[in-house]
Amino acid sequence: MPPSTTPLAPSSDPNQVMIDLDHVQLSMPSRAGQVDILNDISLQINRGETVAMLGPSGAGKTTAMMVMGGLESITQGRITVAGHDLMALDEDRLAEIRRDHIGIIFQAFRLIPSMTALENVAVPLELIDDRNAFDKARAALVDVGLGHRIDHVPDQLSGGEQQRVAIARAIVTEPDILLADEPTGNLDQTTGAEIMELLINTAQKHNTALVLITHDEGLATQCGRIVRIADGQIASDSATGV
Amino acid sequence: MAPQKTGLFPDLGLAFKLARRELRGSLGRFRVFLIALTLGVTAIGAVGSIAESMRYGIAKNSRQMFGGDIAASSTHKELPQAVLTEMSRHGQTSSLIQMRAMLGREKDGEPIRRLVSLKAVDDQWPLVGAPVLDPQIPLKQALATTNGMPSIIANPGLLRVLGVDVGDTARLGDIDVHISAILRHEPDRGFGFEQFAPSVIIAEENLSITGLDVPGALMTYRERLLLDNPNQDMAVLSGLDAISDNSLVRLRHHNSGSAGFRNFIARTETFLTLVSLTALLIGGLGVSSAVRAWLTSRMPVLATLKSLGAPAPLIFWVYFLQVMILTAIGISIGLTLAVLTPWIAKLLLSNVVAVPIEAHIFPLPLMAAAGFGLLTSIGFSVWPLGKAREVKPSQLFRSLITVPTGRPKKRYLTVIALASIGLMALTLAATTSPVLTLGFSFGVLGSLAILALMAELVIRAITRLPKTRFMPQSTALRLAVAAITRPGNSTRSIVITFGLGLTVLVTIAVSEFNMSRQINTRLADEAPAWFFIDIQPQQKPEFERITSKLVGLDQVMMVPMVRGRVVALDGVPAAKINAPQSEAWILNGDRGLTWAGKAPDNINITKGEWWPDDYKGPMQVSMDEEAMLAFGLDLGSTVTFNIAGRELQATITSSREIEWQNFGLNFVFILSPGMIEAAPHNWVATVATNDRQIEAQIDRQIAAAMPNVSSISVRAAAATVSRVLGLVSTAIQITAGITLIAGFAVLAGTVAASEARRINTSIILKVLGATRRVILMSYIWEYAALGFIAGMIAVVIGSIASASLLIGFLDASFTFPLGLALTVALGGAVATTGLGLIGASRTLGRKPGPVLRDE
Repeated sequence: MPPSTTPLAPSSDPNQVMIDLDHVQLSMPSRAGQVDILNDISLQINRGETVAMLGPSGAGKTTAMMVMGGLESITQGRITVAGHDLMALDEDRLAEIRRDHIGIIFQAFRLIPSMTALENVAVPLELIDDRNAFDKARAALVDVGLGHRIDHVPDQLSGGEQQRVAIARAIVTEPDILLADEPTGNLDQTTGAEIMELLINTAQKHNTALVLITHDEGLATQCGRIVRIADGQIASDSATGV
Repeated sequence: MAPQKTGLFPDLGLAFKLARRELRGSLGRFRVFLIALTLGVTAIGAVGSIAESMRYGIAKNSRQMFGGDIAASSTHKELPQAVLTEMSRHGQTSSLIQMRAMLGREKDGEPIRRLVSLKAVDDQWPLVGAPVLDPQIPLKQALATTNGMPSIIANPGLLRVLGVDVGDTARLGDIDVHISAILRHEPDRGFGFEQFAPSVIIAEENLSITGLDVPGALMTYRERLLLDNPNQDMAVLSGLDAISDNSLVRLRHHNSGSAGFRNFIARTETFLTLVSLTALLIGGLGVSSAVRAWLTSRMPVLATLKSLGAPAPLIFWVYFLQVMILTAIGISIGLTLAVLTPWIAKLLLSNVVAVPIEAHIFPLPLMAAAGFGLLTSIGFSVWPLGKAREVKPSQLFRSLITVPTGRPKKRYLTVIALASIGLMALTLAATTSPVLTLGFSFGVLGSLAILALMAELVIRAITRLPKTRFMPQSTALRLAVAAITRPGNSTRSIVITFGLGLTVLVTIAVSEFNMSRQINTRLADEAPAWFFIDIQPQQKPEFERITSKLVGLDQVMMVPMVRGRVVALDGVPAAKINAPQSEAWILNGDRGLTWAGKAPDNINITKGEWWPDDYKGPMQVSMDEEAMLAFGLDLGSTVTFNIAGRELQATITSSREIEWQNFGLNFVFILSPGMIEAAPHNWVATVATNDRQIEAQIDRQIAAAMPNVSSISVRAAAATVSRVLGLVSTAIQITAGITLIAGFAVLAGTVAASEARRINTSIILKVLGATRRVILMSYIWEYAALGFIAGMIAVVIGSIASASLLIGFLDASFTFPLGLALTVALGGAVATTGLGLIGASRTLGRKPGPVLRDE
């Protein structure tokens, strides 16, 4: 099915809207009645912007991120990512949108345990049949400071190193959008700070829109904008001045 | 950037690359998959390879074992000179006379004698190959007259039984003969199992000295021809057929000499293939559960690939290719083992089966086995694979990622249907019987459905029990009940896999019980002790005098017998009749025919009427009802016989139901008296007694008075049949054993798949204060209950299958041996419990600390 909106051409325009949530509603039936997980959320995120989504557990931050990544359907509203109306796309087209425009970083790293760091990073490039997949993957690992660990499998890496591999994998295709779900949640404070710095620097270097889920106020203030979520609604949306 | 191919066939190169990476270091997790697949493929490949090695052995050696290219034979009368002359024009010929006789000696003052197949050979024998004699003396010398006595060479087993050796003397017919050598290898021994009547060879010119060639004796005259030009075999055969038309002569080509045994091989192969296929299908269940377990553990990877943009078809192919790589490994191991089996069979069976087993690699059965393995693997893995591709990457944000439930997309259901049709097509090719194929397919599917339904019923019944009133007091029992019904339980897989394996075992055990019961019961209750053949008409009064004195005339049954061939049915020549396989023997060669004025006491007329006692009109015949129906005949149809060179036509006026299993004198055709009485005939008799001493006396006295009369001990004949059945039964048991091992492997896999969950449960229970004893007891209850349920269902399905086999296919009666069936089923239940415990108890030793820290 053709996308209902015109896909965006690569651009360095800082005002180009990469993510557009328009009155998004996500409700689920339960025994106790209908539960609103996301309730009338409207939000625009531009290219190169770094946005922290802050809120307590169960507030709906992760669900909002899944919606942005085309990983969760919504019940009402409209969502446009990199110019594509996600509601109009089937599962395989959504996969292609993620492949071409979005990099995702998980709290639990989600590396493929049977593959080396290099192979893990090369997978997204292999999916687009990039002949230089391994050269680019190697360069990405060097960028995140893991040039000496490329042949190690995830079990042989520390938590911080695994998250660096995950970041390299997320950025290797030079996506327009980076979605990071509590990327430092499984790391100690020092390593967490290093990973945050790496993420922000990488996003700025590639002019990528970064959406960071966290409940850590300190980490959130490193982003340019903080969106607070409570009970599935946007409680506040403010710039940090960074 | 080139876009990734999507649709049904994405970039298979990339899929293969990712599949290989995924499998790296994970082969150990596929032990059950490989064992289950390998066992089935090995069994099917082995059965086909061994059968093929026998067929190849027969084809390669058929000229030697037949004794030439073409043979002409005639019973009672010598072959016509015209036939002999025509045969000698085309190559080298050899003549021999074959008959049954008794070879005996005195041992400790008591005569002992054994039925033998006596071959009186000319100096051209054998035309192909050479006999192996011990000592290695020339054949001419071995058959020469020694010390005024004709010499014989004889089968080593026979000499051992009689307690005689080379250089000793034995009694053959009216005379003593000299044993000049042991016949270690008889080139034209023919095909089959151990010989019931072992061979004794004598020079043709010495036969008349023995006094065995009395008029009416059942002698077969054979002329064998070794063609100068073997390519002309069919032309020579049809030339001979033209000149021997309407005579007593039976012509055979060396290829037809083994038809009976080839038929036996084909039937045994079919049965063993079906049992092996059951093992493979049980393996298929193992494949399915192994794939499911693997996918469950890889769900985060699948979801991650999807989150990186991999389309669902690519995900399917990545894991489907892994299954195919494993399938290729399993099939390769299976075929490697199957390839070796002809050599093993040659080693083990050469002394038992008179077939030269030619050990080679036979591609066709191996390809069939590979096909069965591939289709089973596809059929059983595509469902979980088709579902796994539907995993939602959004689950990556949660800790538990499960394989989606429900039915996969239509295209995967189509693949499963095609694989099932392929399996049925291969089964049809292997059995060549649509009825058997459909029966087997529906039998397996029906059994699976019943087992699945029963497992479901058990789960639902337990789940719906009011918790407070019916819940057991024992903690262990409560935990077991919870384990049987909890989400993700192994109840269905254990009941189905083990139930199916036990069903095969119960079917075989119950069928074997019924077969041997019938042989033994009839031996004890109904069977006569002796058959006597070749009683000359003038010897009849003497025979009756001796036997009536020992057992009473009511225990003796005597009927006249002539040899004759069926040459036409309802005017259609026998050669043009497409005989049903089970009844083909009736048209094949000489048959024993008898006649009777008054209807015998023990016959059961099903249609028509017996002729009057003093009937002397046109010839009538009473025919076996089953054969009559099989050939499409009815009352009023005609049967044309060739008896002693004369064609006689008889009209069917009655049909009879014959009970072939009663070891009595049974004839397909009983003729009305009249002209036939003038044909050269002799008498056959049965004598019944349960007294072993009298049994021995009868044989001794008949042997002393009538040396030409041959006796056959029914007990010895039954023992020979039992040995052959035992051999087949051993083969079936080995194959069924493979089925059970496949079941064990699958069960072990099922237990292993739930190990992580069990560890968690047992750790939490320990933390809450449960002792290891309580946890162990809960495992015992759980597996014992599942084993018991599987066993009981197996008793029911296995008994029904056995009854269908015996009544429907083997035309035998069926008795349900409750004790045996229960023993097999409960044995299986105990094995299930034991195996389940071995697997599950490993979780007992885990200490809570390390596990909780890892969490």
